Amino acid sequence: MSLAVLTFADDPIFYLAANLAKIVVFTHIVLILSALSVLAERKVSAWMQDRLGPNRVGPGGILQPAADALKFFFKEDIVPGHVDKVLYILAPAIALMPALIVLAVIPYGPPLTVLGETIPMVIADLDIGILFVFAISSLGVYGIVLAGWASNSKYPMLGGVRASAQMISYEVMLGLSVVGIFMSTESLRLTDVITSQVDGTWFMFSQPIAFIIFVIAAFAETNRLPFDLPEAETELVAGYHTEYSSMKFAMFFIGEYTAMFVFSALVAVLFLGGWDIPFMSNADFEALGNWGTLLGFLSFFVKCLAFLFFYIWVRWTIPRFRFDQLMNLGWKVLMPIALVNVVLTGVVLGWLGS
Amino acid sequence: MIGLEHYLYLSGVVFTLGLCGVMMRRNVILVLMGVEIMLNAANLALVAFNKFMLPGADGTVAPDGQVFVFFTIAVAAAEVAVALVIAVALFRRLDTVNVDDVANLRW
Amino acid sequence: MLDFMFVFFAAIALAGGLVMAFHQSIVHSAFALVAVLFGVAGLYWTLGADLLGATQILLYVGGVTILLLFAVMLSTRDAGRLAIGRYILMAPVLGLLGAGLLRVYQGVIAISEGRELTLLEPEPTSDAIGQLFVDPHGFLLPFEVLSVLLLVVLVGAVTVARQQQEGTPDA
Repeated sequence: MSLAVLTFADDPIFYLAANLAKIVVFTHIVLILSALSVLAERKVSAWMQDRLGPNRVGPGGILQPAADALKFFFKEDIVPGHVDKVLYILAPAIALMPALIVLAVIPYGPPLTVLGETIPMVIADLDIGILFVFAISSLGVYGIVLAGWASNSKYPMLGGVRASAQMISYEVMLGLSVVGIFMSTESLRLTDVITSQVDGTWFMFSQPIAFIIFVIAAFAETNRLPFDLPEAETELVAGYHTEYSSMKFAMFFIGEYTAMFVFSALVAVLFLGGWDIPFMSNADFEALGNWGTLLGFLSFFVKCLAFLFFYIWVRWTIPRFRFDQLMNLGWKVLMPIALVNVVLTGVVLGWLGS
Repeated sequence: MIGLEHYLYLSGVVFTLGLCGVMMRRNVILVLMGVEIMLNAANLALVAFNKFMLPGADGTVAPDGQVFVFFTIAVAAAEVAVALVIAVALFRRLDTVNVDDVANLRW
Repeated sequence: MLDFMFVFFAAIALAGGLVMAFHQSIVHSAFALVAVLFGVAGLYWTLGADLLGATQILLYVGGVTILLLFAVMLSTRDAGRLAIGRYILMAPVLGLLGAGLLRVYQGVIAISEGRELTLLEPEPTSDAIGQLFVDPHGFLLPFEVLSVLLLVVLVGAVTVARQQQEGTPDA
């Protein structure tokens, strides 16, 4: 677009207002979607098991999340006597924070034009976008480890130890799998990754190995089946949140579902073209103006929701891994494949370039 | 306004705190944490020097000091990996991680 | 704004350092270490080193400290007593060293000619740093040596851990 991107120096008040609006709107959209995905989880599982699922509150059970939230607020908040108080109270907050911070760098759509100013549909378009995402999302494990430790009892402790080993291992695969993408886009900025996909092919097709590894690692990072060993009900009661009740438990819950949304959004941005619609180019989006923004916005959220559905689908289909299987899969299978993928990408790029 | 001196004094104080941790703590893992803090204080000084002492003619800064810090971080991560293996081995064999209890050179 | 950011992150780093050095619970100390590392990462950002700050959080906070916590969980929760008494005699020596360091600092600060923090929106540094890493006249050799070091460490750590398992069956 010919208009310059809005900066603080141009018009401080408009800049602050626009950013505040973006923060409020995007955070609410994501939090509401996370709440609804809890309902979706129950509905889909019911559907897959030939049951009805929650259908009493509101039409078709749509208000069930609100009812759940109310119930959480009115439950007694029990702090067991044997816990480490400071860390026990801090842990749920730390579990929720990283997922919410990462929302700041995800591009939700093409730039919007308001009152002649171009506003990028991302709260903070960092030059090091993906590195920031990995850095902040790696903090999520602290919530689990501290909860496990502070609860001062054996099942949470085992859950905490498992979580730290699992998340450190799979973070390596997560980082390695996307190296190929950034070798071909030559930028760590997430909007650059999307614009290169809008005019080219989606990385899901040009980097299929990276796509599979990233999806597996995303399941492990969010502690979802088949990798939900830190909270395996049949082995560890409830793992790290055994000792938690009321709103503190709910915060772990929201944190888990928000993290799921964040990883769905990352898959959409990195591999499914972000706001891209097949057979449309960057020029088409610009020609459509704000309607292009709306289309891109919808396309992005459709992709996110599709991947969220995939998350739920897998959970009710595949049994849990054993811990040694998890570690073997990570270090002996995925890691070499990811490294080979990096080398392959380098060779192909060098060959195309010369 | 914040200048080089603020970063340097801060780095000195943080370094001292890390040194206190290293010398006064007796748990080998806590000693390691102290070492990490000392390394971080030094890194902070490096980046501050890079920023305040090395601007080029057009005001841009060549990030040599930041590259040093990348090397420090990588080597520190390697150091921690080895040290923790030793600490866990120590605990399994001698049932202690107190550095004062580990005074013998061989068994 | 930058002044406020400096004070904010410096306060986090200092408070974390104090807690880390003197708290009686080992996990609280580890968590205070996270605070120090986070504070230092923030200070890198105030200095315009965005890539470095993110790397600091990714590697130090997300990797090294989790490893430390893991080792704590595998060993003992006993932090041990603070050994303060034996160092009281050394206080004058340390004081002298500190005074010497202060003198050096003052000399260095004089050279910096009172430059101040100015940038509110830092320039991206990732490009320049990447170029330096692969520049034969820059840091290519140390970079390659570093990769060898990491390989050696990987093999070494596995070897020590494996000897432990085979050597003492009761462990």
